[in-house]
Order: sequence, then C-alpha cells, then structure tokens
Amino acid sequence: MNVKDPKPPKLATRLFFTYCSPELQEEIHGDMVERFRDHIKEFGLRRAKQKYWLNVLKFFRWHTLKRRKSKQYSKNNIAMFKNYFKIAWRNALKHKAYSTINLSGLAVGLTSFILIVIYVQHQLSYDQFHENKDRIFRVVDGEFAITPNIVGPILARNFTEEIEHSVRTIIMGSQIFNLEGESFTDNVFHADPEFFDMFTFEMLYGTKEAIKNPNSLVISRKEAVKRFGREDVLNETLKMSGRNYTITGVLADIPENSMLQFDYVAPFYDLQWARREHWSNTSYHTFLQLSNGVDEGEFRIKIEDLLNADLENEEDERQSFFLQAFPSIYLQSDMRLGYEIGRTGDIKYVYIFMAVAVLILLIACINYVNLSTSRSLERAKEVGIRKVVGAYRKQLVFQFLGESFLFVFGSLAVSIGVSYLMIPYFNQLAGVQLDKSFLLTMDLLLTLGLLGLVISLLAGFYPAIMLSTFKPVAVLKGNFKNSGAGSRLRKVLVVFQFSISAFLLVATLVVNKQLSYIQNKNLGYDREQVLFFRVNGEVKSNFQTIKNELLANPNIEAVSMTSNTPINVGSAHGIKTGPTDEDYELLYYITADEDFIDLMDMKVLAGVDFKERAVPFVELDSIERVPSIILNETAIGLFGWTPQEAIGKMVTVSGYEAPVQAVLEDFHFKSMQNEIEPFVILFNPQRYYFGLIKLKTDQAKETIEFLESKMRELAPSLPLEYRFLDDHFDSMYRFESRLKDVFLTFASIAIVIACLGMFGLISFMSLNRAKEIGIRKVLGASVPNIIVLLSSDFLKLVSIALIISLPLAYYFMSDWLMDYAYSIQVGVDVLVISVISALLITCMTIGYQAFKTAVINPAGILRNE
Amino acid sequence: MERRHYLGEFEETVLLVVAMQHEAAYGLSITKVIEEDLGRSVNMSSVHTALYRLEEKGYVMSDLGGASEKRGGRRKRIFVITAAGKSALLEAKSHRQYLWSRIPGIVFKGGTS
Repeated sequence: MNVKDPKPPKLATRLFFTYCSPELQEEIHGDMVERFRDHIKEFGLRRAKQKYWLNVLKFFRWHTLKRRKSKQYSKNNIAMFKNYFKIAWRNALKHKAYSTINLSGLAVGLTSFILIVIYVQHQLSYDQFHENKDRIFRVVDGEFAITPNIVGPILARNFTEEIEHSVRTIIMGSQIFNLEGESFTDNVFHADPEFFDMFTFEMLYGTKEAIKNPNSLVISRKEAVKRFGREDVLNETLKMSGRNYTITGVLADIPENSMLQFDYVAPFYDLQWARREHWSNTSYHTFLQLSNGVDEGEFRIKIEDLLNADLENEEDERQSFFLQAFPSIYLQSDMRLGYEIGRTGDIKYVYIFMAVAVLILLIACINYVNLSTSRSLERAKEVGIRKVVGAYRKQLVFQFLGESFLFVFGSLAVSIGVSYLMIPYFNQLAGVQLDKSFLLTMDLLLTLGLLGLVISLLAGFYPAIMLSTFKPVAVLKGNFKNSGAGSRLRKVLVVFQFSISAFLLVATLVVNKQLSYIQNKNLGYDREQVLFFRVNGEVKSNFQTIKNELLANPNIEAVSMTSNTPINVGSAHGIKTGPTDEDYELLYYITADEDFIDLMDMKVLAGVDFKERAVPFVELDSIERVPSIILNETAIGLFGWTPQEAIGKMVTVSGYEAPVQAVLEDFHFKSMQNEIEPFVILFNPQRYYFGLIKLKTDQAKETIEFLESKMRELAPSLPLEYRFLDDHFDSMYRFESRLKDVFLTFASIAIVIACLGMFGLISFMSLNRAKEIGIRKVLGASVPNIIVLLSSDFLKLVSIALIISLPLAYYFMSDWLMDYAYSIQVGVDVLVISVISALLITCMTIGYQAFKTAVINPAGILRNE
Repeated sequence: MERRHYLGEFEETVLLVVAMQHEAAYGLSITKVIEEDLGRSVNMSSVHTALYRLEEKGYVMSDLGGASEKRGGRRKRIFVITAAGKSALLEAKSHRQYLWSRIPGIVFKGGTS
C-alpha cells in the first residue's frame, strides 16, 4: 500500500465501527473507502473527507446498526453452557458409585416424601366434599357418638330458625334381602328424609326426595350393577326384612374419602321400633345442619344448654351433650367415641407420618449435601484452571449451583415418575385407596418444585461459594487442604442423620412389639376356629334340629346363637349402682344361649352358667321368674364384690331386678386401646342374630363345605355368609398393623439412605487418605489397624447419634404406648437390639470399603508423588 | 392469494443495475451507474438499504468477493440477480408495456397542453 495515499478521517471511521454491525462493517467500509479515493480524484482531499463524513453519518440506518450489545457474549455463553453440561456429565460418570448413591438416595427420599404427603393429603380430605360441610354438626355425648332418638327432633322443634336440617341415622347390620327368590345380606343405612339435603352424595337416578316416602330404598351404583346387572334400576322392587321396597334412587359411587359408606339407604321411619322418641332409645347418630349465617359458637352454647338442662329432668344421668363439627370427625379419633359411624383415622398419625416424611427427606438431603460437598473438593483443580483462563467468580458460582439444580431436579422428576408407579403398591401397604390424581395437583407440584429449589441451593451453595473463593495459584500448586470446618459440618450432619435413623428404628421395634402383644394377648376367650354368621327366623325356629345335625359331624365342636359376636358388642344397658336414679353405669351386653360360654371358652369364676339355669330376660317376666344375669369381673367391681360374694346379690339391669347368677372372668370385647368395661350376658332366645360355630379340626375346608350343604338343606332361605372370628379380630387392628408395615417400610428406607450416605462418605475419605494409609502401611501398620482407624471415626459418630436418639425415642414411644390400656414397656431389649443393629449396620456399611482400602498395595498409591 | 412481486421504483432501478452488471455489482458500482449513467443523485447508504431489502425479498443473492487495495483491503459484497428477481423485473416490464400500449395516441401526439 502506498504510504502517501491519503486516508479517510480516522474519527469518522471509528464512529462507523462503533455503530455498524460487525457483519456489515467490511463491505460497507470497503465501499466507502473506494468512494473516498474516487472523490479525492474528483473533488480533492478536503471535499472527499467531507463526503466521507457525510457517508458515515448517512449509513447510520436501522439495518446497519448493531442489534444488541450482548450478542457477542451470548454466543460465547452457549459454548460455555455446553461445557458446563459436559463437565457435569463427565464428573458424574467419573465417579459412578458416588453419583449413583447420591442421586438414588435423593430420589428414594423424595419418593417416600411424595407418597407420604399424598397419603396425608388423602387423610385430610375426608368428608371435605360435602357442600355444606361447615354447617354440619353431630350431637354427641363425651363417650359415645350415638345419641337418643329424641335429641334430633327436640332440637329441630326448639330451634326452627337456626336449624335447617336435622337427620338421625342408624346402620342396621346384615339385613336380609330377597330379590327374585335369591337372598343376600347387606348393611342398610336408615336415615331421616332430609339426609340427601344435608349431605352431598351424587345421585345417578332419582332425586334428593328419594327417601321421603315409606318403603323407598336408595341403592349404590355398585350394588345395582351387582344385583340387577345394570345401573338404571329406578322403580324396581326388592324385599328387605320381609317388606317390599321400591328403588327410588341410584347413588353414584360414594367417594372413598367419605366416612359415611353405605350401599343401601332406607327411610328412618320404616324402623317401627325406632320411631318412639325417648331418652332411653339410644342408637342413633344425630346430625344437624345450621342455617346460613348462624353463629356456630353461640348456637353451640344454646344447644348444649337446652340438651343438658333437659337431661336433669330425666332419670338419665349421662355425660353432657355437645356439638362436633362434621368434617373433623374422621381425624378426631383420639376422642374415641363408642359406636362411631365409620372408619376413623387419627390426626396424631397424620402428624407422625408428616414427621416421618420430613425426617426421611432431611436424611436424604443431608446425604446429598454431604456427598456433593465432599466431592466438590476434588474439583478444586478444575476451578483453578477455569479461573486462570478467565472465569469470573459469578460464573463459577453459577456453574456449581446450576449443576446442583440439574441433579436435584433430575432426581425430582424421577421420583415423581416412580411415585406415580408406586401408588398401587403404597395403597396395598397402607390400606388406602389413593388416587393418582392426588399426585398431579398443582399445589403438590409447586411445593415439590420449591423443595427442589431449596435442596439445590442448600447442596449447591456451599461448594459454589467455597470453590469459587479458591486462589488458583494455591490450588494448582497442589498445596490445597481440606477445610476443617467443612469436615466438622459433615460430621455434625452424619450424627444428625443417624440419630433420625436410630429413632425410627426404635419406633418401629416398639410398634412391632406392641402389636404382637395385642394380637397374642389372652383375650379371655378363644377366638381360633370360631366362625360366625347372620341367622334369620327360619334358622331360629329350627335351631335345635340344625344344631343336632351339625354336631353329628365330629369336626364341629359346638354351636351357639347370640345377639352379637363377642368382639363386636353392640348396644348397652344400664345398671343401677346406688339408691337414686342418677347412680347408674352403662353396661355392655350380649344375649346368648346355653352353649355360648363353653363355646367361647370363657371362664366362670363363680355361680352357674346358662346350661344349669336359663331364664329369659324379657318384658313378660313375672316376679317368680327372675331373669338370669351373668356379669363380668369389672361389672361386680362397680360394687366392690368378689366373685363369690356377688352370687345371689340383687342388681338392677335396665329396670329389672334380679340376682347375679354367675361371674365371668374379664375378657376383651373392644379394641385393646380401651379398658375392659362392665358387661352382662343375658339369656333371651328372641334376640339372637348370629350363629357361632366352633370347629375342632384343621380340616376347615371340608367342614365348611359340610356346613354349607347342611344349611342349604335345613334353612334354604338363609344366605349363609360366614366369617372367622380371628379374621374379624385382626381386622380391628388393621389400622395398627398397617401402621406397622408403613412404619417399617419407611424406617428401613431412612436407614438405607443413611447407610448410602455413610458408604459414600467413607469411600471418599479413604480416597482422600489413601496416601496417609500407604505411608502407615509402609511403616508397618497391619490391615486390622487400618480398618480400625478408618471405622473408628464413623463408629464414634454413630455412638454419639445413638446417645442422642435413644432417650428421645424412649420418651416418645412411651408416650405413644400410654394410649393403650394394655401395653408393653419400651424395655431394655428394644434399646439393646437397636444399638446392636445400628452398630452392625454401620460396620457392614463401612467395613467393605475400609477393608478394601486397608489391603491396597502402598506402592501403588505412593508411586506417583 | 399468490404472493405479488412488489418492487419499488428505486428498488427496480437497483435491481436492473444488478442485472446489468452481471456478477460484478456491488454497492458502490451500482451507486456509480445510477449517479453517472442515469444522472440521478443518490446516497450510497440508500443503495445499500435497497440491496439488503432485495436480498430479504429473495430477488438477489450475495457473496463476499475479492478484496482490493483500492478498498483499503476490504472485500466487497457482490450481488447477483436470482430467478425470482428476474421474474419480478419481467413482470414489472410487462405491466409497463401493457400500460404504454393502452395509452391513446393522442396523449403524446397532441403536443403540450
């Protein structure tokens, strides 16, 4: 290039380059320079420069402008992003074991958390679907969920303004139905006409008026399909307890989270014996729906005043009545009202499960944080290099946080997927019917997202800040040391984590022990090999024949009839305990025939049983026929008698005075959480509803076939539906045994996650200390020495954890056991087992890695220094 | 509706020049033709703008061509007319011819008004 050549004005050129987009700079500037040269020839230098300036200014146009200042950087950033991903992936692959432990631990923890949260949500959702739920209340007294049938009508009459609907319900068990000659039994819900106005149950066919006329029957969709083979069964007729009923409504499936569960609803009015309103007619659940705008608190006081004032006028002295908000009934089982209307849960267990969920999550998170922080130190060199080639600190923080986000959200996505697949299994385990839709609610997903964010920040923050502060020179020179603070933090976290696991371990053992105690405790009667079934009039009238025919089979030991099964005792009588009308106690009762006490293997402590003397307890009694009364120990305890003293003493049961004929040893007829209550066995052939049969043999199958064929022959109208007493008993504890399973499962998960964490940590530590161990070996340390060296750290931590958690676990579990009237002690054995298993698990977890490190050839490690 | 060829008057001129300077047209050369041959004063930047717009419309293609000392070592962007560009020009031309042919003889014969 000719030096003398004039150049275009520099300032103008610089201006041009500042505004023009880089892609266009070359060509446009080329044109301008060329033109500038032409102009020099044409107009001279001065004009040419002017024109050049003018051109520069004129090219200031939309399409020539630089679009965005950052455009240059963003291109570079994409490459950097790619690099971050690549490095994250390579690091994960480089330490496959860590990565797997780390991520799977987190995923398992999150999955457990998700499932438990869904479960809790489901428990909390009970009875929340009724439109008027906030205005529905139940009248109860302090002990029972049932109230006299006069309570509802009295309130409705006195508070016409405040009460919109008042409904009494009663469940009649095992009613006998007849449809076109085929008979079957089912429970029937009898309710006042406004039942469907108060509660929100969707009707497929029919209206809310469905049970307002006598002899009308509402059927569930499921039953309709089962019995008629179709859904639309409006106006079909069905025989129930000998009366013809017309179907006036078909219900959509009742939500699983409803406490009221029924297949048939019939008018209350159809129960003739239930119509008479009286304070002593007590078997009914009374529901009230308040009018809009009625202040609940004030009304409660009014209502409770009225009822309890009325009480004083009556001969009944009972606990005072109060109102219970309907949607809260399900989770209020710590009140443990007798005669509850349906299955109850327990808010306490909801809390416990929540706590377990949080604890598991905590363990998993600690794990994650621990492993990622300890691992991150290995990346010090990477950070050094990055800094040398110009990474900003901000970029490094961003990189490590981003990596943490990537992995946490990856595990979260996996956990959501796994939870979705696990729901059926979880349902089986916990005995619930969770719907998959619970998982996909916005709330839950948002919560999980937030949770993921927090975990990523917690796990990513420390390494991000730590690593980004490294001095590159120090790191690359290699004189970089593990920070003491970091490892101390990690130790604290390990202790914390293991404390939780040990706590759960103890809790599981205690729950297990208590349940096996309950299930194997001597109940005071023999429930093995006893089956029971509902009987009808035909069986009752032919009973002697049937009994003889059945006893002809050597495998049948005894046959009896009763009003209730001994583990499901129904109604209550009153027994007078003092001179005034107010001195009286509630008395559970069964009516049974002569063989009942023998069949159940109950122990008569004094007196004679029905076999020797049996006088019916019926209203026709005259003075000379005093009814037979057999009390249990608790009942005579009310009077302070010993069994021998009690015989022949006069007692008044439901207004009839009679001497005590015999005293029975106490037996459990309610759940083990309750104390044994006063109990009376009466003789009354008119009130038998169940047949009991005791089998003598293991050949149950053949015997049952014999029983079925005999019953078909002798009582063709009876639909024989039998159950075993012990199965039925176990079902009473289904909640507890489910609880045990759930607890066991999640406690194991917690322990496994904690062990994963420990395993990861010890692997890391032995890697870190490889050189030290090499030198120790060279200087003569033996393999056991090294193993002890490596394990002792962890054993120390585990011991501290145990010292912290065992007293806590002892305290909490003793508290839980207080709920049971009959319970075990937490006991030294549980604690010893916990300690041994905790130590054993620790040894097993770290042993492998410790051994592997200990037997390594020191030359291999020390060679490359 | 079929996409219409739309060419502004100035764009048409530029495009014609691109066609004229077969495979040698670039910003400055086109400016020169318009200024010198057509005697019309024009900004270099306007020509550039028109060229980019034509390129967006698909009437011309471009590539960076050789550098020369004259240009201070900068390469030039050579513009070539595309098939679409050609058909747009033909259409414009035929519209014009049609309109010319429909002008009554008297308009131009009748002298000045």
